[in-house]
Amino acid sequence: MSGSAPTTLLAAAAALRGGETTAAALDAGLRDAADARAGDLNCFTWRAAAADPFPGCEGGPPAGASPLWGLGGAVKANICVRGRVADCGSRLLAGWRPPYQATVVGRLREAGAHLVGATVMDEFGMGSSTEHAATGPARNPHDPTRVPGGSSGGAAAAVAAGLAWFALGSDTGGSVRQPAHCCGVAGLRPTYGRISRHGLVAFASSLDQIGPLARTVADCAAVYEAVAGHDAADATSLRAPLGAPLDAAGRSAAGLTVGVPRGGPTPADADTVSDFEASMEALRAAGVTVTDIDLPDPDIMLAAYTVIAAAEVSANLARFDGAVYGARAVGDTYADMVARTRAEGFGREVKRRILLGTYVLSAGYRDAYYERAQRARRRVAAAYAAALSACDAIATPTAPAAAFPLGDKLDDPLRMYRSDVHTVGPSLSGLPALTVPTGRDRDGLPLSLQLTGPALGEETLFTLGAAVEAARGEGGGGGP
Amino acid sequence: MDAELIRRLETLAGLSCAPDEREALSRDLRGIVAFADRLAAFVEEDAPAGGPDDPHRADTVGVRADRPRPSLPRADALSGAAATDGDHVLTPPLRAGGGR
Repeated sequence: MSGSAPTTLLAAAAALRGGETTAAALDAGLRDAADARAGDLNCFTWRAAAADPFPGCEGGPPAGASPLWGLGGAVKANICVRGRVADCGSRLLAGWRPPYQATVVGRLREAGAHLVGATVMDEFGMGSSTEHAATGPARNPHDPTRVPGGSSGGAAAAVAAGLAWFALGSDTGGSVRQPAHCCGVAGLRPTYGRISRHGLVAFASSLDQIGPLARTVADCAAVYEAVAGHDAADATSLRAPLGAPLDAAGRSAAGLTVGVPRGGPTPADADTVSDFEASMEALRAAGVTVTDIDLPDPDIMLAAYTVIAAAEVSANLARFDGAVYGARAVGDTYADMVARTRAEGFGREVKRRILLGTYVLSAGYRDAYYERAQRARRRVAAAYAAALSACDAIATPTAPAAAFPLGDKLDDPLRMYRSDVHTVGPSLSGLPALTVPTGRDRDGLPLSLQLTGPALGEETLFTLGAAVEAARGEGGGGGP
Repeated sequence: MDAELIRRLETLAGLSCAPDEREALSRDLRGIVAFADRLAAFVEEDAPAGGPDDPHRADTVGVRADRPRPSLPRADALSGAAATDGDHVLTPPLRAGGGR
């Protein structure tokens, strides 16, 4: 795209409304950018062919159209698009084409958006780097020797590089927020039940949520507005009215209160601490009160998450037995066929978590691990509720440091898991959390702030996030 | 968390690992389980596990031992399974009105 071309979703929508451009011209811009960079970044599982139409978008947007009208977005490869490959980053599901459509894909189409492709992810959502993707890792547009985060790393890389106006990822323990942090884009994990999970291939059902990634907080709000809301096809879907999330991104944050865990932003490296403090100063300057709150030790929350997610994945992935979905290996007995199919189809991280989940659910260990983790989860949720009774949102870093080099943590699962140490608390508590790009570290890599709100508090997060973004100057879609 | 326990977990989980993979997984899982052990102190600040207030006490839940069973013959197990093209399961046709 030219230097004067819009770089954010809302700017593109305004240009369409004003007749300054067309949906076809914007789509051509995305295609050119993707032709130039998608191969190096390895961020797409599949890309829509140039001939794929987006019906009804030939003229300008009709009155009252969604800001997404005429714009191209991507979905993570575990969100079902009827007839298109949803491999979930796994060899076991290579080439698998779902016969039905996720609710969120239908809502994007109802809003007038079209899909530019599906994005690379860690296998079944397990990872913080996309290095556990069967098709190889996606790369960070800011520095291709670094990871884009995970598991929605391909989605974050595509948005940051300007190959899609927005993307939908999934977030179990931080899989939208941590890649948004690594790639310098905004990313939202909504309240549990706010966005339909119908058509999302399950990883850990009590934790999984679909969430938007976009280049600014307001762009993120626009995508959220298009896809959120009740869905009868998801038994966990909430019925609460949606409100006006996009308007919330334009409201003043003055008078709101943000809580910071006593002891400060820890664990975090020095650049992350400095960046976090600068964001708190920016909020104070915007009229926000910053106060101390108490939360459990982040390592405790990570331990509880690790156990619960593993337990759920060991049950959810039992259905990948070679009899119903994907690849099937030959074996003499049913058990032999299942074991061989799963041995050949699953990668190392998935096997690790299935075995861990089987262990923590097995006789003799369930009380020691799974039951304790569930009790810890209840205490974590209670601590968040108490903290949020004294403030409108909680501020922490999204991650302890900027994007790490490819291969750096691949052989040490606990170091990899610690990438999510700040994001698992909201996941365990079912709360919304927003990642806002805020600054750069000494190597020029993006850093960010995570804002966690009460259940259904997305609008407050958009208000606060937009205030931080405006003050810190990282919003606006400048990209790498 | 030794190789023998990993082998047992493999059976329960329907997985089979190569010996070198089993060794690496065993090492990884030892580290993760040690990390998870810190949950004990955290939850017992509240109420001791297995105490009278613990609704998950083993003596009230009736936990049975996990025992791997002999497998069904392959043909029996697959008698109701979806058709394949040799490598992959074929997607069955949708019932009318079943799509979204």
